[in-house]
Amino acid sequence: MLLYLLQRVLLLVATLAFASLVVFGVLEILPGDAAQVMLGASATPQAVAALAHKLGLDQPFATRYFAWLAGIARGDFGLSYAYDSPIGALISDRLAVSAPLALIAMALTAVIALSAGLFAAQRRGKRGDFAVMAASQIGLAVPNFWFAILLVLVFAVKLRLAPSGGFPGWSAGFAPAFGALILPAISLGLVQAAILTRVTRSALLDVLGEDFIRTARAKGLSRRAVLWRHALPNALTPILTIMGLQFANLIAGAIIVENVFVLPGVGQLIFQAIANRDILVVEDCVMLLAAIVIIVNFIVDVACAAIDPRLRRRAA
Amino acid sequence: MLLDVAGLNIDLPTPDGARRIVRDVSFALDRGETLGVVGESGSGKTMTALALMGLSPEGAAISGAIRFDGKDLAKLDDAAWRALRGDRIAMIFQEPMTALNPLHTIGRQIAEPLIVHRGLSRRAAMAEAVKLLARVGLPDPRRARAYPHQLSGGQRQRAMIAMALSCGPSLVIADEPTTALDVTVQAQILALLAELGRQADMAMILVSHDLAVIAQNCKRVVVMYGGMVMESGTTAAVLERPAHPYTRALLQARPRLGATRGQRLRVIPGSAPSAGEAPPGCPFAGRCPLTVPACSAAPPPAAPWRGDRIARCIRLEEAENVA
Repeated sequence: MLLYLLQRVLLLVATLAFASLVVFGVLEILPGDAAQVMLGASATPQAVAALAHKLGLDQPFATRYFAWLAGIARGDFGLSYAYDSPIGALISDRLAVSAPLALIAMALTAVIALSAGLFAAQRRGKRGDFAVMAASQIGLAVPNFWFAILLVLVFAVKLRLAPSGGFPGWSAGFAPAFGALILPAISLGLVQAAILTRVTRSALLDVLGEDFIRTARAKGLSRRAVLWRHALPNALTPILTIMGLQFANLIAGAIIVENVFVLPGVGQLIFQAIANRDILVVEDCVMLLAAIVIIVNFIVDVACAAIDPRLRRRAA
Repeated sequence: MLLDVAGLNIDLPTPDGARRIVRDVSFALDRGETLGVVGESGSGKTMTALALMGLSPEGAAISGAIRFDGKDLAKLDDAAWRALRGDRIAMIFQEPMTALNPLHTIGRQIAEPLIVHRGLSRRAAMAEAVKLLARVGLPDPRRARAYPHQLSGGQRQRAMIAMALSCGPSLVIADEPTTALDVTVQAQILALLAELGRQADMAMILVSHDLAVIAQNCKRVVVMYGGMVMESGTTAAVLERPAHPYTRALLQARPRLGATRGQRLRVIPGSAPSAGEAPPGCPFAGRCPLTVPACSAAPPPAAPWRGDRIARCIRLEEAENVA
């Protein structure tokens, strides 16, 4: 396991380095000068040259790339052209909204999907199974922005149980800030739960058909013990893999829901940065999202290997 | 009498209604005795074995009597079955790779029945598992910490045997225990099972499609076809002088040493009825060289034949003369 972990860490570092090169390189080969793009077509050549110098665009590629990496390592992400403030602070303010939102939504997804999936798999072909599958079918068909609007109408406008949007900031206290994230988390989490419920159900049904389940029953274990000790751990690998993908999706893909609830999250920041041609912000945000995806995948891989000894061997 | 199966029927639900896949199966087993059950795939032998464990597929309807140690198993509830399974009756499955949980060490899997049935602590059960592994020929205590994929097929089947024998059952059902193994390993595993069975005065039902395996290990044999017992009796008698045309055909279909090179194997014409496609009469009627119209009309009765044998055929006399 230790050797496996070392291998995965090395792979993680290599992947992150490669991703940073791609992110930096792609923005580099954009047509035209980054300074020109930022200032627009009507800018004077002097202004473009001045901005290029300020951004260090007159330096060679390698120098700029390593300066960028070194900056990130120091926590210095550069300056936003549009906001004229440090990008590091900008992103961390937004992450203070997006990260808890994603975590709450993911927790909801996991709790709902695992219980519904377990419930349905144990009642294969019976009424409870059909009910869960029908509900998840609806969940799959509902776009989350529409569901978000529905939630606002019901819980914010009609019942007045939750705010319809906006974020008071964590400085306003835990309860109001958490409250502002609940409806968005539900609208993100329920739709994802529909997918994960199906994954859980089918992974469990696959495992329940395996020979070793019959062996466990032949030992005299109860159905419950067979399910929790033998079936669920074996079904966990596909479930964790999908959860990893969903978490990355929650961080990056929350733009629409953030807009519906007027939340100042990372998605909104990227959206605005692209609209403002704030290339450095786009670059840093894309790198951040790539890093989150890569790190979450790393965690999922290690968790799967911790569960399944065969995966530890295969990596060698 | 340890086990007495009388008139066992198993009906499985299908979209077109229930299908009878095991019909009127009867056999008995004494303490310490080894009974062979032979038949092709689809003959109902595995379904019969699973019924003895209370592990029939969901929705299966079982009728008839299964008396084990004086209790009628057909009347047990779920909790009573659980107490019996893995403790008094244990099962060894065909494919030890898939029959073992890939995520648990074999020590943990062997310890599990001891924890469930004997109330041992995890630590005590693990110590017992190491001893059991030594008894089945895996003396290295590190083996208990190995995962199934780290063992060879023969080692896995030894671990499977250790698991089945952990609580000292009085009956072990071995469903094709050596089919997935190399021939040399097969012999070792069968010898081990026989030896352990003798030591513990344990009865065994050895399910196999391999007549040689049955001949070497079982005093008595039950020949199944199409969900019915075609013939039963002492192994020597049944294999040397088969009474039923099916048993006869089965023996002739074996490859033999000393046969002329290029000589084709005798095959049984036609194909076995698929499970549940139960014809009203004898299931072998469609492939039997001696079939008369009466064969397909009603199932042949189980009739005694030449001493302690029982055969289901209305043409036994004719079959004897054909030989």
